[in-house]
Amino acid sequence: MKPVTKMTVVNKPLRKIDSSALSQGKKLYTGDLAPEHSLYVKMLWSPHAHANIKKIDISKAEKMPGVKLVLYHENVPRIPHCTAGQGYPEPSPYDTFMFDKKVRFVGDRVAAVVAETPDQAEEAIKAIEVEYEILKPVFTYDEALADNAPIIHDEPEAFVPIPIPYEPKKNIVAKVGMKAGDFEKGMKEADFTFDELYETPYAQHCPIEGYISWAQIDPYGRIFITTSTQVPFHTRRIVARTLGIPVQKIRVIKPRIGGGFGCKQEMLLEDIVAIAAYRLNKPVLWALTRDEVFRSGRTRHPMRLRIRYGLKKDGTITAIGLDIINNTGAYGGHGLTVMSCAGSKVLPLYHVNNIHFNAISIYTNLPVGGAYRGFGATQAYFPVETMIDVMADKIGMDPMEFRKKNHIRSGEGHPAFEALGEGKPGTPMTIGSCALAECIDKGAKEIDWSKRLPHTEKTSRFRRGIGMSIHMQGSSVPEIDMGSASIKMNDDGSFNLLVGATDLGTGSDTVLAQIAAEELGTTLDKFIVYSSDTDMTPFDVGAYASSTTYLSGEAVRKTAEKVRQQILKVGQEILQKQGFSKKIEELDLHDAHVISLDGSCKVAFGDIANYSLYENNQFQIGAIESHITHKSPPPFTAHFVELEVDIETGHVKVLKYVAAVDCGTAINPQLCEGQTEGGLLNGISYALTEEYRFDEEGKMTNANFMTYNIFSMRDKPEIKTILVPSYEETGPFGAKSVSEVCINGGMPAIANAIYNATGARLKKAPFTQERVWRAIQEVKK
Amino acid sequence: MTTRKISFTLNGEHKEFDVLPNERLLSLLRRNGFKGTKYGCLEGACGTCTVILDGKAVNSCLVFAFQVNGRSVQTVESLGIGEKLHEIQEALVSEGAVQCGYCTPGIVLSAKAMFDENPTPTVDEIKVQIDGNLCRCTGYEKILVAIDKVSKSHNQGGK
Amino acid sequence: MRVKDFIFASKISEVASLMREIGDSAFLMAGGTSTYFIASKTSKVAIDITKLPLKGISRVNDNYKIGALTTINELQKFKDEGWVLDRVARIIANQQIRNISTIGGNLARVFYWSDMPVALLALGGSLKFSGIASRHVKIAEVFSKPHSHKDVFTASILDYIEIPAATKGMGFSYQKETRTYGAFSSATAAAFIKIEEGVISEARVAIGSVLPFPVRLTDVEDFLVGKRPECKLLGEIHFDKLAKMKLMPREFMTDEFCIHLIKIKAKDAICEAMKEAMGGCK
Repeated sequence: MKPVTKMTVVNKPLRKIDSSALSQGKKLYTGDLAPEHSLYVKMLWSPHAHANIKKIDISKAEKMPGVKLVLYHENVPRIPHCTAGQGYPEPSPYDTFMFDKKVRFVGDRVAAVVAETPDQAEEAIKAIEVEYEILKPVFTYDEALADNAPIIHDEPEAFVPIPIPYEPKKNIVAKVGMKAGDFEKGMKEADFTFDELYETPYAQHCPIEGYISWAQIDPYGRIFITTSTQVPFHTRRIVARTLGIPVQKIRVIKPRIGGGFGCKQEMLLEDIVAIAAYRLNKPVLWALTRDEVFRSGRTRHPMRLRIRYGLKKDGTITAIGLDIINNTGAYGGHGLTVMSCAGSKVLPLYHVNNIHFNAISIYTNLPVGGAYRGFGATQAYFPVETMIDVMADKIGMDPMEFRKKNHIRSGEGHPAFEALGEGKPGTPMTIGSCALAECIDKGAKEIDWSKRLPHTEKTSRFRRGIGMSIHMQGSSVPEIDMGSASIKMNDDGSFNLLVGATDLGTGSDTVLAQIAAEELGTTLDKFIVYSSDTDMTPFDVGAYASSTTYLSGEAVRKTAEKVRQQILKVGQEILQKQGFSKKIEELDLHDAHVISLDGSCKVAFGDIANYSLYENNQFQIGAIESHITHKSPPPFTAHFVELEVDIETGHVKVLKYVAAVDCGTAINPQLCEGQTEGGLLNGISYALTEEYRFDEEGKMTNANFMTYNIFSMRDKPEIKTILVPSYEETGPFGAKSVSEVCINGGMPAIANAIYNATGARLKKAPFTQERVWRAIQEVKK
Repeated sequence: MTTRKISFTLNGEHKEFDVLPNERLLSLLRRNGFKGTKYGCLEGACGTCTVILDGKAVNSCLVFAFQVNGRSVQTVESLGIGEKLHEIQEALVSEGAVQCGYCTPGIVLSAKAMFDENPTPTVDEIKVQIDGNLCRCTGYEKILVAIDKVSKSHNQGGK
Repeated sequence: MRVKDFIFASKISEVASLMREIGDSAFLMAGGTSTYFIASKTSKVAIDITKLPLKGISRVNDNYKIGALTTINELQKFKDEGWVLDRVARIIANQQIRNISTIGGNLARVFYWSDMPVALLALGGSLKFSGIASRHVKIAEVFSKPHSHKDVFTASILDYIEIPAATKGMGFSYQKETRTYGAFSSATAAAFIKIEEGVISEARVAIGSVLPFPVRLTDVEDFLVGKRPECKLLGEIHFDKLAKMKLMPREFMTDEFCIHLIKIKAKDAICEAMKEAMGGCK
């Protein structure tokens, strides 16, 4: 394979292929494409955290103007399913029904109205009479696990489709754990031991486009669903199950998506629009309001994490213990996998022989946890990377040097890779490419780490601090996730690239086309990319687990490689006719031509396509290929932050944030930077401002952008992204993932910088002014 | 509730529309095919529905449709016709500031209104004037660079 | 809030008669941004007043006259020696809202997090009303109690606001604490200080956001007047009046922290205003 420096399309900051049209506001998103006379859905959401529905009277609502259909638990199929978009069979409970006679959180479905206008639907919702039997709710970790706790899932149907422990009667969704070495012994060998509790909040992804789906019935009676989803193929399968109809009946189309970040790795609206469209034989549209996105959409799981460490004076870590209680809320879709990743993407980062990891996912009567960029690792990195600083401080070692001494390196493995899978053992692997050491050096230089002073030397009201953290993630779920692609050549030497992979705004359509163009020796503009249409494109699991570039990208490269062979052969045949007798090995694809390596002859792609389509030995140049991965190579990153703390008000102002990233070969460096910058800013506001607040009834009290505060351009610190190249042998052109790893730094790096500024340790996020101020008061004592 | 007629200048053309008194400008625009104005939060906090009203960027989800009677409204459909992008769009695209793209039309219009008033804003002025357009994909870095690039091009005797 | 009908008014006299005619369901609308926050069970008839000639900022001697329909953006962009409201305006909400929201609307519809009343209470000045009862009312009087505010705004139409120009020997500071720039204020304080012959001759200190309605801390003002503007003054301020006030229950903050935070912000405002009045830090 040619070196990255010789590549002409890969590793180039080429324009995202859809960005011009998007900047012009073209009709490209789900809501823009809905038929003009679509009917509208509005949902009656549960006002109670935990209640049985004793009676529903829909008779008044049904007679309201414009109302076409009212759906509730008595008039729809009752089929248990899991809304989480994962490979089948999922390691997750089938604990959800389209509608149930029980509601399990404020914002759970009660009944849906389909009407001619949203206002009519809204009015009809108010006319539905429901009698509830209020049950005692479960809100806290301790309440969920208490003896005689109310049982949230007492329905007999709930089950997990693979043989793993599921104990709904104890409100336990799943347990994950691993041991290596001897944890107790490791703690005994230590000169210092640590035992601390950390807590992370509920958070929402806040894509600017909320959840939206519509469905219509095609002339042959099939259901076409157009939806803002990260998982079109899983959605097709889950809708089919939920409605009790064959997969064949359904087509799912994903147009442009206005952001997802994990929250759209879920079948959330599609079953309702599908069944409504089917029953009414009319197009039906459902869009959630921002308020509904917060309350009834998916969230980042809140976790309580106990962390224990054993440490020797020389900086050797003798033991790590991580015990997690994970709140999945009312339904358990991602309950197991998010804990697995909290272990497998975090524990291997440092050399420790004695490991104890134990995680438990519980149900509560609160909003539902889902997939969220970083997926469990983000939560676990908060205690792990904060404690690294605490330990370094204890032995008087620079925290950067401490990290350098202990972090994982190329060629090394870790027992967590093998132990922690998705409902089954994981996949053993050794680290291939790893430029973490270089990331640390480059980031440190950019933030000017050498100027960092201890907090004891700071006395003014506004105190500056510098902090850092390092992270890894993964690239795809090995041995489980599959991606595929097909390519065909057109008359003029252009290509159709069809992928199941799901571009949710990341630019993966562009990245995948760059990979194909590189392999085929042509340019990006020669590709017509079409993605994520279950009727038209080959299968792909979808956009999650940092898989698209590494997994789907390799599927594309393999497909292109096949096509490449076909083009070479046809080219050889044409050249032969022109009197140039060349072996295949003497030919190459370059600049949209088949060329001879000696430069003596060439033939253009357009001529090759025309020859194969019209002239001789006709056939369609084209191929389909699939790929599964055998490892999940981690991208690495080092994050550095400089901030200023007002010790009187607890206000934290982030001044500068540096992320040095090893994502292997950056297929499109500009898009890799974009992923990094977007992720890290989300990480910063997750650390400082984002959090769900609930009233005593379990109702979220800040379900809007005015009180759930995400950062604006004005809040943004100076951001510096440094891409540090490495070459991952198993990835397409050396690529690994980039999207998730960058969100992990905000919480620990900022906590460490606050400590460096003030001597205050934050263990509960977000770091609100009051929490920071109180922690500073503790230091003063 | 009955509809009433209003008229205003939309992208330079005089237009008449039937509106419901409670209808917001966003809804009026979208149901008349102007889908470049996106729906984000309906609370004036995300800016994805930004349009230019009498030269100023406003949230079309907060403005009642009747409020624009007799006034002038500009939407993204008026900028960058065909393959020729407006200089703001061009800068956003070339700097990689368009990820999911959902917030982009709103940002284009906020920036347009800003440049119409002041062709050479400083970085600080840009941050203040584009503070109403939330983006969750980019971390704003490339958006800021792109808009600053346009400002600098004006400074160098561009437009 | 829902709107059931709308009317465009072009003269102030017209507005007054329309309000009488329509009665309780009449709703004056300029920018209209507050309608998002107003929970009303009944639909309203909107009287669009944006075409009334109540716009613009002009300086008349040592005062600024600000038309009620002047937008926050216009306050933000206006530049003049002695003009200080740009500091307030540039950190209100977001640019789209500043572009349409008016100073009149900001004063007429006061929410606990409102910024402008706090700033104007500290600046001093007056409001000129017309309509049923045409009169000049001191800002302090209008905002003395929620019900007096309500009385004056339901009975009349705000024409313009008059505030002093901050000339030599005067200082103004506005301090707003927020989670993000776009967030509601967690605590807002503003201070106006006038120094004559080396002592504080005039002081106004106002706070908001931690309370249901903005107030002036008259005890703090009394303490400051007659003193020399020195840093150590700040340490001697007692917030006796504040201690007795009923706080607005706030998310993310306990009462204890709320009180602490507003005291710090008030001291910051006083400190900055003193510095400015002295022509820089001494």
